[in-house]
Amino acid sequence: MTGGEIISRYSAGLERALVRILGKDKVLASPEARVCYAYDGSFAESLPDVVAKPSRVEEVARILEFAYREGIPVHPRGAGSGLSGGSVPSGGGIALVMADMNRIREISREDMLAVVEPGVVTGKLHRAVEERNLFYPPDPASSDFCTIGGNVAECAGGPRGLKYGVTRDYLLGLEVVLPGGEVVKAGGRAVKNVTGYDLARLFTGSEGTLGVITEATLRLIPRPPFKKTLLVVFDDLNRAGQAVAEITAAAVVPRTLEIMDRVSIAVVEKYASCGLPADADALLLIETDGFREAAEAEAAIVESACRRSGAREVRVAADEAEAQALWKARKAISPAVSQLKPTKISEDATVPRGKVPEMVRRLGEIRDKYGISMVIFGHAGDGNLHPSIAADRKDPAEMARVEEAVAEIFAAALELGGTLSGEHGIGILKASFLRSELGDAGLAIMRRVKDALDPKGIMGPGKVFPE
Amino acid sequence: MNIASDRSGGLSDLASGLLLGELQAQIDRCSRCGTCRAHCPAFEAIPHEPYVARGKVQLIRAYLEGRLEFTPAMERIFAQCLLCRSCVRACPNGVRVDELVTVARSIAVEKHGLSLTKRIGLQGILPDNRRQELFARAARFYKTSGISRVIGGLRLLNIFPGRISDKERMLPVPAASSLRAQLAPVIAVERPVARVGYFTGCLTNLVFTSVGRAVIDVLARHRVEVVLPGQNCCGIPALSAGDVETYLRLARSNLRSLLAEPLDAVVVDCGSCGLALKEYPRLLGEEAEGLAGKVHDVSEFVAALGTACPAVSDAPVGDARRIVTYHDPCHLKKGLGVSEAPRQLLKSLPGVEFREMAGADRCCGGAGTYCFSHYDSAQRIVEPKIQAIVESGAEVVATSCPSCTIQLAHSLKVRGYGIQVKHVMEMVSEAAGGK
Repeated sequence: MTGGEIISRYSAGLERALVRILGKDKVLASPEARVCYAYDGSFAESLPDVVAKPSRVEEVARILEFAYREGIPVHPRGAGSGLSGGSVPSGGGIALVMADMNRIREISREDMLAVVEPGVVTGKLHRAVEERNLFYPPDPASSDFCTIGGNVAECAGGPRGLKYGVTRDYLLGLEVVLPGGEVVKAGGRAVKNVTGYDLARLFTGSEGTLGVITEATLRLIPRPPFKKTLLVVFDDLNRAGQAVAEITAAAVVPRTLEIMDRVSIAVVEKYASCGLPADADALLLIETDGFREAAEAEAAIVESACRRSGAREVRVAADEAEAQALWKARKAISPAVSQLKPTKISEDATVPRGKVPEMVRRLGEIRDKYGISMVIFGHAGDGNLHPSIAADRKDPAEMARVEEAVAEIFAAALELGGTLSGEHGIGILKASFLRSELGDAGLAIMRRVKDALDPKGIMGPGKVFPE
Repeated sequence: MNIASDRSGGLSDLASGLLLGELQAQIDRCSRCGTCRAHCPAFEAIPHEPYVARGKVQLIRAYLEGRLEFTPAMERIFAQCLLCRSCVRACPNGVRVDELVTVARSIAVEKHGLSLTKRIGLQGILPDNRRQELFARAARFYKTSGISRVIGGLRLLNIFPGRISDKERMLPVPAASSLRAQLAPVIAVERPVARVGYFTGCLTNLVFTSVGRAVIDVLARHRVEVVLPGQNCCGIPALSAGDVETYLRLARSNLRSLLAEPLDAVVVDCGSCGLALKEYPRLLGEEAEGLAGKVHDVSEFVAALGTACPAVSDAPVGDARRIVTYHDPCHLKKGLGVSEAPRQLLKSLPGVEFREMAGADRCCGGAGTYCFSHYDSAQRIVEPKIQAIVESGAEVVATSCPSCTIQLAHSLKVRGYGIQVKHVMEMVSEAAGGK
């Protein structure tokens, strides 16, 4: 869907109507602007007819009132860094860019929470709360530039999900604008809250298909005072998978437990050169945290579990700078896959923790069977692997092999009791597989929820649900 | 996609000839992850996707695929890039966005031509040393005679948007005579340890002559013989504007004269000039390799000699220690990879208390003519830099780039701060009892 048509399918009336709501500066309809809001971090692409950049909830409400009345698709977007096409304007319509609503409204030590607008960059929130010795754990690899709104909409996770959970586990309340323009408050500031249905969680991970998030109230925890970072080197990827199982069996929960295979190491070292051992077949990047004694004791248990599994070497980061260099490498993997070939297909299939060694083994088999370029990395500790395939869209034979391989990856994950997506979302790219996991009944009930909240289907058409 | 079939007529010489093979590979390598959103100064000034590096790569791609026309609107977007390479350095795939932007600008030149001002500046004045001096003399007269007030209505800087008075205040006063006119072609020393060519760059030659004298002073104290070979502008202003022809002419001329002399090294006091010389092979090929290998930033060269300066005594100069911080010029750090040497020199100076500022390598918004042509954006970009400088408590900001110097000195001054901006070599020379 390369959206070759630069001619807008909606009349100039659309632009004029939005200008009346937002003013001239916040509405962009030039071909250049439309091209630049047609993509996210995946290979999905589709031109919006117009780009709207509201800065207040009232503006969002008026846009949704107008769009609902006229039946125009709306695609909420943060930084456009998603990996499933969740913000890509499939079928055109309005790209609703929330990035200008970017204030941290409140950080409360007393209530241990933060109230933020959706355009706040996640890393900025991290820094702001950490300055106050508080902690917001969800940390997608894109945290330097992705936004909270997108994190909630996709239920972003990240390495720390293993110990601390994902975005939904830190969500206390939301303000959401529904199609039609109604502003709804869901949840609130209380940690315990069972009044009615848990609407905040309904919107979490809804990928912009139910409404537009205009404010989030996020739970904070105390910042762990100490952290120890280990890099464990393996000569065999399967042994690394085994080590993950050993660590889980040893009943310690590291802060993070990341796996990188040989190809991941090679692609990140090319431009990011962080000094990873080039001859390793696999690496585990592991952190333990908490009070110093606890973190060090856990690190010792982790180390012996790795050695039992046949680790070649266990390195301890000497200081924070060294630890950060390792994380820089880890964060670079997903984008770096496109060095291999231009079309990057980032998968996110997730299995129960105990099945990680089996999943790693099967991924290797699938890679060999279809002869595809695939890197295997991800959050091994919580079963959320990121097998990422590099291909060339212009090569139909290769793309056909990739399609089969992807279907087999999903089948393997489901067979092992896992899921299609751990944290990237279904978006456009995985919509056709939804039924395989949810079944007819599961899919039908989701449709009923969608129809109840968005009867005209203006929110993100073409996403999540199979056509 | 085959570029030639889609846009055979729409490519500049630069795009179709020199970089064609790499152009598509660069674009393909952009995974659109968005990492550059955290690093691009232009995006900080104008937070719209077309202005971030990722957006620009996708715009070029759309143009090459025939989905977009190269309109004046496109030209304005591509003008909003400081070529600072912050994105290149942060990019997990090493996409050379600076080169893609240069290609886009060369397409703009091909399609729409250069503006009259740019034609006069880049093709009339820049390549010609004599005309450069005449222009500098006129500018000096304009700035110092009081005539600027009388003929303020002339609006010389009106070619750039923004308030004229601000830009006029930023315009530095050229020296009464140029550095190279002040000096003999060879500054001999006794028993020289090395013989280096000094590529002065235009701004040091015409405006910051004290920097040039400091460079020569420090090198002389190290018993390094300094030669001033024949030289022109390094060409980077022309290349940045997409005027590849002028750039190539200047590059070839510099290459000839710098290779004609038997030199152990060629030193520069400006990261951008240094980067330009180092990267001549990108467009000139192998013939330029011999020069590229010899080019060193002067602080890197001096630091490698072991000490800041043999004559620097341990006693503080004057009575008080001055608090000094350092601003990394983008082209020096992100281009040439030099960031430790200047710090090492500053820390070794008596009378200097070095304090690192937050975000020392964030772009200051200077970027050659950008701080004039996009004054308001540049002032937004410099804001956090000024805060960081002030918070460091520094009395002096040292740096290694005349463009950064202009931008920082002006931006500090208009905000009412009396903090000085000096070149690292000026600091070293002063500590040695300079001239």
